Amino acid sequence: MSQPVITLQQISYLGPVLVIVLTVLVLLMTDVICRLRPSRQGLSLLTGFGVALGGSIVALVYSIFLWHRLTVLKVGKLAELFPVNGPPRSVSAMETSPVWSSGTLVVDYFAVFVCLLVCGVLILVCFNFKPYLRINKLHRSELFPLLLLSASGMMLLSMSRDLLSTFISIEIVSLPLYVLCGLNERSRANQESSLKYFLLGAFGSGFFIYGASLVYGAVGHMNYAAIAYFAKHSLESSSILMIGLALVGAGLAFKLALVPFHAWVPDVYQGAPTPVTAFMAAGVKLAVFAAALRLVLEAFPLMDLSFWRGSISLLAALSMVVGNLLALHQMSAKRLLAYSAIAHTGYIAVGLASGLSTSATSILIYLVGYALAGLGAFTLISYLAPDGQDDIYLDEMHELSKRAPVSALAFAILMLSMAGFPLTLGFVGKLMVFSDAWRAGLYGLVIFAVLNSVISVYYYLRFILAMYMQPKAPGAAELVLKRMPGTYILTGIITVVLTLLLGVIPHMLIAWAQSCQLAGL
Amino acid sequence: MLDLVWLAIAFPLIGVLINGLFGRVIRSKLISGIIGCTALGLSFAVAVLTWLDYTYQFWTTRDGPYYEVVLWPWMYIGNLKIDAGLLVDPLSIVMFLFVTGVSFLIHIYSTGYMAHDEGYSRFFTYLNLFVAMMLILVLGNNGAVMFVGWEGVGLCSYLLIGFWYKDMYNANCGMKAFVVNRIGDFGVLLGLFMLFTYFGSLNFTTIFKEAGSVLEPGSWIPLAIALFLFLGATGKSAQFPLHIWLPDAMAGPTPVSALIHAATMVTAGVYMVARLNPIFNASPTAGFVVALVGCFTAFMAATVAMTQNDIKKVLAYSTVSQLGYMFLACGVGAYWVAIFHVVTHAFFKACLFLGSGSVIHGMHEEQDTRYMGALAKFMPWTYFTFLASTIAIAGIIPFAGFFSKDEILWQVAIWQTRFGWAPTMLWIVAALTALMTAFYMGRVTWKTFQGQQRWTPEFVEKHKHPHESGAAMVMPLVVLSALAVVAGFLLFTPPWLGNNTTLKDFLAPSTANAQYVKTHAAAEPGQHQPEHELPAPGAEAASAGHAGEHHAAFISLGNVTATEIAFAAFSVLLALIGLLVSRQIFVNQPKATEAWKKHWAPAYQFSLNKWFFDELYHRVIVVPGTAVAYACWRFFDLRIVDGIVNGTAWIVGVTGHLVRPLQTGFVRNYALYLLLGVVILLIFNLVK
Amino acid sequence: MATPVVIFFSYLLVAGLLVGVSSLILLAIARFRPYRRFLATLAVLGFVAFVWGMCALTQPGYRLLVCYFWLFTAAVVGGGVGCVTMRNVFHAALMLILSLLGVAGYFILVNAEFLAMVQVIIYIGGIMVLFLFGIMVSQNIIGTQLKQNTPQSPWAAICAGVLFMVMFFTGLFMTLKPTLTVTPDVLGNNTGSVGWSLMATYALPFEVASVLLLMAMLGAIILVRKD
Repeated sequence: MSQPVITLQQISYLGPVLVIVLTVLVLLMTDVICRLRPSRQGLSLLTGFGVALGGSIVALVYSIFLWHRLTVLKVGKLAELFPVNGPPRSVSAMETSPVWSSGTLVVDYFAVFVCLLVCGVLILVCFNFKPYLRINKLHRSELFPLLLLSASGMMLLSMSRDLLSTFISIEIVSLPLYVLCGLNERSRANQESSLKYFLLGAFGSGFFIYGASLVYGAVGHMNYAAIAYFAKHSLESSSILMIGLALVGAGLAFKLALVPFHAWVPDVYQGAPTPVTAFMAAGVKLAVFAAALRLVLEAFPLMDLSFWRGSISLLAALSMVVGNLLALHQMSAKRLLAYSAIAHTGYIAVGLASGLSTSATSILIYLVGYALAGLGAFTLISYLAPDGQDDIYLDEMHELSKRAPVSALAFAILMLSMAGFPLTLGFVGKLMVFSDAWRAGLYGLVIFAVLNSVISVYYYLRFILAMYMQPKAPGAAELVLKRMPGTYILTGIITVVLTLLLGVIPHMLIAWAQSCQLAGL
Repeated sequence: MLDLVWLAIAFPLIGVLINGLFGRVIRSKLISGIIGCTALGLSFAVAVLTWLDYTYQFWTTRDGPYYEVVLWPWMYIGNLKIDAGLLVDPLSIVMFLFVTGVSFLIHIYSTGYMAHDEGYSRFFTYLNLFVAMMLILVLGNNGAVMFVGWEGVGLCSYLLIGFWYKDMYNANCGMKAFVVNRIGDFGVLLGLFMLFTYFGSLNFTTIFKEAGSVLEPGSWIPLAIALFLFLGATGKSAQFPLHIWLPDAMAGPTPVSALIHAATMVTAGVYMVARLNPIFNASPTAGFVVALVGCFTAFMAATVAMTQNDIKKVLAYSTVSQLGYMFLACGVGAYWVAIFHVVTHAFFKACLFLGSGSVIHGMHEEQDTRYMGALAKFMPWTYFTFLASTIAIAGIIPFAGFFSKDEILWQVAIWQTRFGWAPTMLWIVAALTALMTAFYMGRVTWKTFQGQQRWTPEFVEKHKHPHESGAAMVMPLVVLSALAVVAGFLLFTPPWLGNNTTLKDFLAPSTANAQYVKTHAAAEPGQHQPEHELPAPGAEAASAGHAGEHHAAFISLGNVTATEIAFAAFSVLLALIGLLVSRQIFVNQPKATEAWKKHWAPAYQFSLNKWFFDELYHRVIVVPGTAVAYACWRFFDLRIVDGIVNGTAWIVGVTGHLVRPLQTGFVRNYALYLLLGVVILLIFNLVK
Repeated sequence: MATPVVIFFSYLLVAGLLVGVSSLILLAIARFRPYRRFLATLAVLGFVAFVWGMCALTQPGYRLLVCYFWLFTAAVVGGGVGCVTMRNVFHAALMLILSLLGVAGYFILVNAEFLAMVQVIIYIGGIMVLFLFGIMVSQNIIGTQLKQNTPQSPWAAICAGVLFMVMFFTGLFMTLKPTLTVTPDVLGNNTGSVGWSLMATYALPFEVASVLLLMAMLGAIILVRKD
């Protein structure tokens, strides 16, 4: 039995994750130390925010450093950690030398890029949380550790090339979110959202782990390289592997909220505290899509095409149509965005179904656009929401353009980006994802997706119409505009400016993302 | 200077940023106005410098007429390569100059007109944004950039139509414009997609260069592309059958009507057709369709304008009619004439609209000409500028409108086409329209400024008499009317400027491609020779058409043929008849009109109700559409949305006869869907 | 491999087991007392069919092993079904323990004695006992009769049935040969190989799992803490 050796240098490539986990420990320890004081008060909000923000920024810088290292060394990947190798046990031709070798975790362009994005999302969500906690009078100092832990799971998720580490990473992402959804014990909506998410999440994870065990049974390994090798060399098609992968796919589809695994999304998104919703929409989607991309692009390319492409196309089509139709007549902004999130998952899954090596690039760009628009929109919602409601309804937004012109403009821009309006990042993402699918020959699906995005324009424009064109109905509730907290302003500016800037000048982002291609193992 | 063209777009955008973000902070109307106007003034300066630089530097050393400024690579995806770039050529320079110039004047006017409006800085934000978008449209070097501008001006247009959105009617008008324009945009997109499919690029220069080899003249491909693009043009430029939005767009503030819905944005369709003229030239049928639609629109709108009472409605239909003329010119292949008319029309129509704005201002928001009359002595400046523009649009020599309109009529008459009867018919209709134009413009002028005072008692009680507008509003009127008087001389070569500086020669490099293709096509054997019913122009047409190749001698003053002079005299005669008849009727015998209205009731109602287009569309499209939408609403809203349960969520689910509520809020149901999903996935994968 | 005879006996075996176990469970439920004779007959018939199928399918030398397998299967399936049908929470938890015990038995059957022990110690000794404590300490839970009937249960039954059939047929026609490639010495040193994979190959997931546990702890504290 070979003895894998792991060097300190290899460990250092996990830097962003380590930094985040370390920050969590620091936060927890400081909290404990703070409670030793006579006042028995935990960590103050400001300190928690500061430490968390600092940790995220250090992780961001670390990721940038790793990216730099990748470009300087001119290698595709920095390290494959914890390598496994060997011929899958069930292949009858027994080679003596190992025919595949792959790390459990791999630090490559793709992973580092996702780490960068996760750090960015994390920073913006931290910005969101600070005023949110203050305004809603929630003094939960444990919140930031949970947030950071979830983010560390997201980073691991983008690196893992093994069903086991993928599963554990998904759990690390999800568990804190279950708790975060129920952040406010005074809010019934929060509690309900938390419980629903937890129960269904456990159910979804059950499918994933069952599928993983079936895959293990069929292949003898859980590494993607092993799956790819097995699919390539196994002459007999193995239905047990297919069932296993389908169940794994169902587990991922649950986290991604593809129809029919979507049912939790509207209730959970609407019920959760708005910054948590933003984190789910931007972060979780990003990370789980990263995992799905790794699985599909690295393990599946040699597999029977109709197997995975058909399933993903089916789920994508269902998601687009169901998400859009249900979004059409929503009045609650958060619920509308939840349904639109389902539809967006569908669009991205179109890119996943194309399965080209460039799909990773396209989907990452789409995800950047979606994350920016989502974060910005949810920030504005939590700013505008009346006290205790934590949501806004469309009829409350009438005439917002006059009362808060800058917020209204920002919101309009972000909605246009979500709708895929040219000159915004959303358009670039849609264009790239759909053109990938077109090149892969999925003509019907692309046409269906374009039709769906036309439908979706309707409900995004409802926001803009409400803000700019519709007079206030007599007797309608009016939003009480408060002073905008500084971090909200910062988040708003960052998201809107990046959405526009990268929409008008996307070539730099595209160039970076083009390094992030994934190919079959 | 050519490399710095982008500054012209940047200045208004900076204005947008300042006024948009800090408008509420600034609070001072003066500063907002100054910022808006300065941005435009600088933009206009850039335009002038660009023009000078182009004519005196680039022109002499050029290889071709096109100077491209690539700002940055925009989208490089697969073989789709799109740069964010600008194109400087004669066509774009002409558009550039008049767009910035007219916009500048209208901005100044707006400082006076909007002085009492609360949304002052918002207004200037939109206005500046509009100009930036319009410049992107006319300066873009490829279809995608042009489309960005195309959508952008549309957006600003809806925002400005619905500027006073508290009034539900205005908001609905904005909506109508939006919906109708979507149909057009659909056409533009399809056209651009097809262009990309066949050329592999959206760059205009590539398309110009390869149009000859890629497009087979007369085949269905250029026809389809041209018709799709023209569908877009009918939407943006309010041509039949998509003209219905423009008159309603007059719900916006009057400077907006002048800038967007008369002078600049609505001419975008004409610009696009002229810009992509190689496509239209490759398909004679498409050109014929364009000419036909343009001519019909011109006629139809003129008949409607004859009976409208709202001063802005008359001008709106007049605009539709004049745009029809421009498309007529495009259709017969005389693109430079179309652009010439765009420019002159911009001057006199902007002046007319601003004049009407001044009247409305002076009459305290009264728009109905039935309650005006005898304003000339109270508003002399407005009257004289309005009159000058009226004469210009009617086409009396030597005002601008005469030259451009007469040139269009002439080009129609000498049009060489295989549709034998077409030039004659089109010419007759166009001439008739010219007569009607003079009539209705005369009518609105006399009814407003001459005759008896028919002011409403409330108005007289409140304000005694109308007042002349302030300097900020009068000054642009004077400048524009002066331009409306002299702009026609763009056709002639002033001796001190040397040769080849007439508008036609200047535009030739951008539109010449067209003429060459056209002449070749006409010269091919087997083509039908034009069969003119009018004997005189027929003979002249052939020689004139060939003369077109070697620098069109027949426009410069010395070489005007006798036939052309006869035509010109005829059209001046028509204009004079129109103006004088209307003066006779509306100043001297206003009572007689009532009897005629009764006598010609069906025709009068037909015209007054705008040919019943709104009603027709309402019956044919809106009612069934609403029924479908209502059915959807019944289905989705009433069946799906049940109400609020648990105080947390709208319980939404698809019901109907087959499906039960899906979004029940119960975890057990959600878990069931999960299970169902897994079963679907497994069956989908295994049973195949 | 899958001859008609084999298929027939496989059906017999599984159907017998299902009928037998479900009849037994129904017998234990008070509501079905009036039908107890019928249910008892069904249970006996089911188990007879099951034993017959099993005997027909296995070679004599393996019968004891296979007997154990089916015993554990009965525990797992029965425990699972019992867990979701029992109306009393305490009983449901006990049924879950039964199910987990059956899994531990499986581990022993495949020579994974370490995992079997872990299963018993952690799941039964740790988690389930804690669970039972929780139930006992909480007031008014033991006596509560849970309502388990929802309008969706037929649909759920259909879905579960289809899922089961899919898995069943896949298993039946599985082309994956159950070849043993692990060598005897590894078999003898199973615990060691688990150790190796945990500390070498899967060191990272193992370490990361500790983060997971930390978080679970944190989350639990946060959820229950009142301040």
